[in-house]
Amino acid sequence: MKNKMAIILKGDPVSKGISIGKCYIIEKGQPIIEKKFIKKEKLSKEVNRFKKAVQITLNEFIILKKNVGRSISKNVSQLLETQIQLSQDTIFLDSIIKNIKTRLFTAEWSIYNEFQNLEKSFDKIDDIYIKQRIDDIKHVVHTILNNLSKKVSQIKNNSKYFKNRIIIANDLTPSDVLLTHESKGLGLISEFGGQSSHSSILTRSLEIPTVVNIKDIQKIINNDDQIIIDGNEGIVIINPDGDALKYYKSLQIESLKKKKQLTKVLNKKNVTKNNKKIELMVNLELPQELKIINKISTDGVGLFRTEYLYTEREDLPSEQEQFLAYKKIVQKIKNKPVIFRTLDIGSDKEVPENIKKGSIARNPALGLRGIRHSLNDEIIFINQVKAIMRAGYFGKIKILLPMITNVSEVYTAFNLIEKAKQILRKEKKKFIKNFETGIMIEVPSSAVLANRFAKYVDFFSIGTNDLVQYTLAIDRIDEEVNYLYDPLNSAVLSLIKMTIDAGKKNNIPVALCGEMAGDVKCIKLLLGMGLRSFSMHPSALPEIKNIILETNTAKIEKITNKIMNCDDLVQKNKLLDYLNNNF
Amino acid sequence: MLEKIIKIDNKLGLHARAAAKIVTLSSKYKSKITIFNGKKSADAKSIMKILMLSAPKGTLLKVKASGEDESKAIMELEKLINSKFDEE
Repeated sequence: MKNKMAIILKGDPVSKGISIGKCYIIEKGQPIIEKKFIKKEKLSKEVNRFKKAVQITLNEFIILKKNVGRSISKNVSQLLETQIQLSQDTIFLDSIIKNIKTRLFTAEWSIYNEFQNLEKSFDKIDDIYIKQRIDDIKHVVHTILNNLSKKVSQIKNNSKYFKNRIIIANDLTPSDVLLTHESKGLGLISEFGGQSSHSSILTRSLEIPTVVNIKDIQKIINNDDQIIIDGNEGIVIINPDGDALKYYKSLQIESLKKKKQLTKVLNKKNVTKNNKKIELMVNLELPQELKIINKISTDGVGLFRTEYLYTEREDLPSEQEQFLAYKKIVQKIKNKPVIFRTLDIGSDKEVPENIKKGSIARNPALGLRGIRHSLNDEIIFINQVKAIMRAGYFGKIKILLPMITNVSEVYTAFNLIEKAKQILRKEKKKFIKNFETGIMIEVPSSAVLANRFAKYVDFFSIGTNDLVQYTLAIDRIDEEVNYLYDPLNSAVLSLIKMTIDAGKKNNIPVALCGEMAGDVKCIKLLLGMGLRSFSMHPSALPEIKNIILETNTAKIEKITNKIMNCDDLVQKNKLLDYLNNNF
Repeated sequence: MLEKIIKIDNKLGLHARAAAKIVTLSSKYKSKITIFNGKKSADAKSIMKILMLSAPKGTLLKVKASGEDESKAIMELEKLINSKFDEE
């Protein structure tokens, strides 16, 4: 084979780690279809070509479903069932064949033509949910179109193909990430996406090296090309030469060594050099992640995201289903607390179809999300709270309310929790009656008034991702402005400080559960600001703990104040480097 | 030929999974099964057509079946729809 030239691409690193391997492209971009005709004598050949492509498509879906079905996601496999039926739908297939036979369309054009007709019909449907099923059909159509250019011998078992591969996709969905994890893929690359999207958070906790935002990579890469993905720096190298391979292999070995060293740290007590006790907890968003935290000792789950139960499905999880899921988690963590954040959908967290109501918000980050949604749809909230309190009977739970912006929201939520307790009593179900309820501090208004909120709630949890976004008025997913996303901005730091101080004054615990807690560059600064409790992705914990063990909090206050009061960006970064390297 | 009016009573109406269940069930029978929602009609073995019926909760559907196993087909379909597709 000819020597191929190495191509180096730069994207955004979202999950650390280095992988070297062959790539697998999930989905080519929109295929370009031209209006073309076939000769009459080629007719039966064309029909056969189409039928074969459909058969390949069907097999792919069936195999995929089989593999997914056995693993975690019941809901993903239900989506696949729809796609299987779509690719068996005789009315759909027959009308495509009819177009080939009577109008001598190429298979491609005939499919496209039929799809356009369907699109028009679906467009007339009022029901938003049904209307969006056109996307399922589109996916089936794309897969058939892609398979038209393949021979039968090339039938691919999609998820088997993930094994030991670096997966390339247009945009990553949480199911892509899960599937990659389940089928032992080596890494993920996508053309779109951002640091804090749901998929990125997920791939980070599953420790799959991931780089997003590499535009047009699908245009220059072919299936099976060898690539290096560097999730630390956001670099992707296609067809690397010997030197690059050697370099990255040595990096891989080095990071393995480091990982081994860090695991030693995990058995030590969580105290700083000057013997200050620090609380280290983990953020979880999937029960599967429990596997990871089994290996590390933590002070509990500081943030359990419950959205996974609600997404990628068509109905709502019942109280019982939630109870069983929560109970499992609570029992697994044993004597340590699990802080359940009530449903926090909206904004960048896609609102699932089963929950979406009314018109689509023009500005979702400022719309019906977090606690607002719960207070608007009491039944969903009450059911969830009931399930959490029932799970609490089997361990230790706390409830965390997201997106609180004013005190009356706290009142209303507390009333609903009381109502949930009454219902549970009536239903004679066992549940925990006394537990702590806290709020997320993730909107400037609640940070500014933290002193007042502290009188009503049992604890604070600072969510830096949203706090930065709302304080600086930038959308972290919007790539044109996300350079402004700066957790070290003085306004953000002041709000965090206000919250910490309010907690101290009123004697309630304050934790930080945003991504900043797992950021090695920020941890010393936060310690200096007086924070003593952190919750982060399990994967970040060893490194953070390592830093905490060697920090003397008594010595860093002065430089922390300097950093907080510094308005010059360059100077601020210098000071931060000084803090991180010398204390 | 048999005919029956059945009311869709599950919260989400004829959504994708419910439609998939109808197709799976109907495909077991040899009879031709057609479902009507007002003027719109759909072959019960085509998920695409059923989705396009777009039937929310409360819709009255007319189900028609003709063939050797028509009575069993209608009975089972009625059972499925009345059980709210086993999801609530």
